[in-house]
Amino acid sequence: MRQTIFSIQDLKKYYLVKTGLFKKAYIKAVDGVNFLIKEGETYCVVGESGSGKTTVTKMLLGLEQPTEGKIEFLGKDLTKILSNGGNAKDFRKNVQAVFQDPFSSLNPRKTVKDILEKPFKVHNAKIEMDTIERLLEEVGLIPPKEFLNRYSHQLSGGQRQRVCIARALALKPKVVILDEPTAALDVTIKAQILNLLIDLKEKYNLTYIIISHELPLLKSIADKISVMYAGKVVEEGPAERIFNEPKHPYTLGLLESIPPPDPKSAKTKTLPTLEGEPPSPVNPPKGCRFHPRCQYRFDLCDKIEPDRIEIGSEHYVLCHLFNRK
Amino acid sequence: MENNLLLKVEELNVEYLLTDYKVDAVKNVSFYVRKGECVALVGESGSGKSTVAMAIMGLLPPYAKISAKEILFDGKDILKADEKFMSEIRGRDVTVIFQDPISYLNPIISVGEQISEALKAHNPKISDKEAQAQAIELLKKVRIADPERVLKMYPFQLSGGMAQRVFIAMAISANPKLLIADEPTTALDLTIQAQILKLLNNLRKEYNLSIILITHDLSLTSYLADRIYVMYNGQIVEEDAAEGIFTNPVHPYTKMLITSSQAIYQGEVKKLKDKIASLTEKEENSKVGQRCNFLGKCKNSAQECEKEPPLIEYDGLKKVRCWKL
Repeated sequence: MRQTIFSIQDLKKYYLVKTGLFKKAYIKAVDGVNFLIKEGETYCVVGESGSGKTTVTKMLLGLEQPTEGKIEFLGKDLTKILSNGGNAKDFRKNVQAVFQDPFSSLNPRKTVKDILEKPFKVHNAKIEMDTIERLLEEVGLIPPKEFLNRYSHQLSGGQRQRVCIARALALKPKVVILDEPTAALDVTIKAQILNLLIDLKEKYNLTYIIISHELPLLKSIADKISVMYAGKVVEEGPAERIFNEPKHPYTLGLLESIPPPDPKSAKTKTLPTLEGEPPSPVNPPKGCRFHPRCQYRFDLCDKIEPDRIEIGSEHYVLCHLFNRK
Repeated sequence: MENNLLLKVEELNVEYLLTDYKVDAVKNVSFYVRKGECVALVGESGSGKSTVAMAIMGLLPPYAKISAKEILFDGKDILKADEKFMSEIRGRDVTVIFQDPISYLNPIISVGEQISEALKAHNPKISDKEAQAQAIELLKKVRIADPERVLKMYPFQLSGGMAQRVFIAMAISANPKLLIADEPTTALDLTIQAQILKLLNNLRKEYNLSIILITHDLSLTSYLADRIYVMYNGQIVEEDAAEGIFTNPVHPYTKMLITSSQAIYQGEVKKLKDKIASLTEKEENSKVGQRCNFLGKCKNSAQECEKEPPLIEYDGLKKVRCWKL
């Protein structure tokens, strides 16, 4: 049995906003999600902007406090780990992050060497020049000596993302959280970064949590996928089931919206589209949040919120269609 | 000259004259667009594709030096035209939509006023009331469900997809002949991307509109484009009908793009490992000399690649810039 790294139960995050002079409302960014992330897994969270996926990452990293719910890291409550008596430093060492925009996540005044030395300094670890060079080699910046003294503006987008990955790996973490790791990159570079991530994972037995809106990319790397819509996980399951037997109408729509790289295919010619837009997180629709866009809706959908239903091994869906007996 | 030709660009060169060096952003680019046709310029960031578009619109900064044999738009050479003529056709006959519509909309003016402003710019006589009525019609055309309400909204209240629709509404307000779409869906989610692609295709049919689609994402072109020009480092390296590019790519760079896109779509990025491992990332543009641009990234390079290859006809259908055919 593999170790559980993160266990997340009924996690919620509401933000208070003023909508008028005396009126207040809550933005329900994340509204009751459950994840179970095991060691060595590549766990992906997909969803459109505003679905709450980045808020989930921020809570996992301890950068935001959950409004409700519980996050456990290796069986311990995250709020306790991050409080004064806890072992926050150890958590930070073990859980590292790579962000979408490598242009703003690297300090423009520091050289690559400075950037990669920083984690060692923060955690009072011994730095050897060897280690830094090996890290650069590891992420494919070869020969490393050429990159050591460069500033981030002297690197291309893909090279910067490689430096970010090297920095995340510096302290041999257990978990790397990647928020849209390839969104800002060109197609060929995306493929290279994905391959790099796959290699590093195998080599160091890493656990990845990948947040992305680029569903097709995840096909190559994901073990498990959670599909988020308007603050809820509408479908969760093993990657091959999500891609081959998607059940939730939203997952179906999402997969249909990807034009295949082949102008002759029938799907390219028709390009089936899911009409409408995601709802406002302040005032989500009653009942199922997806029902205004759903072509399979029936009388129950705008009245009662669906429950999480298990429809296969580790495959869950939040939809009334699968509860009709 | 063909009868149904709308735009013909011959030997376009753009240099950016910077303080201590110059950058050849576009080198010897020739292409054409027929009436009602969608032509895609595909390439990675820095390949010069946006610069080509901005050169046609006459919107390059003062330090850009443009030279070309001719740029014929609807029979007139716009390279020799004065600014008065350009400002007449710009926004009326040739319009452009950008990647990030929200930042191109004025944040303190309502959607209705902005559309009216666009309408009045090309037809100063119409009254406010007529402009309003036309604006509603336009919003219906771009399939905004609730046009009266959207007219009163401000850009920050719009979602990305809605903002792009508003932007498209403004772009088509004067019945243009040519629409330049510069990464029109890059900032949008998958389902919204499919909707916008469909909308563009419908508008093209309805108005016999020509579209220049500028993108780094080859998969978009499979749905919309009739012909594709692949750009690399300021040059066109391959041109062909969309089908020819996808089914029979010839230039090593095009091949790489196609295999990357297909592998990502099929979830088989791992298979690419050896194919693109040899590819180091693009070097600084300023270093380009008189040799093949792709040299150093190409597995097949030979002696003659030290000289710059011309764009030559291949198979009677496509044109390719490579010595090794």
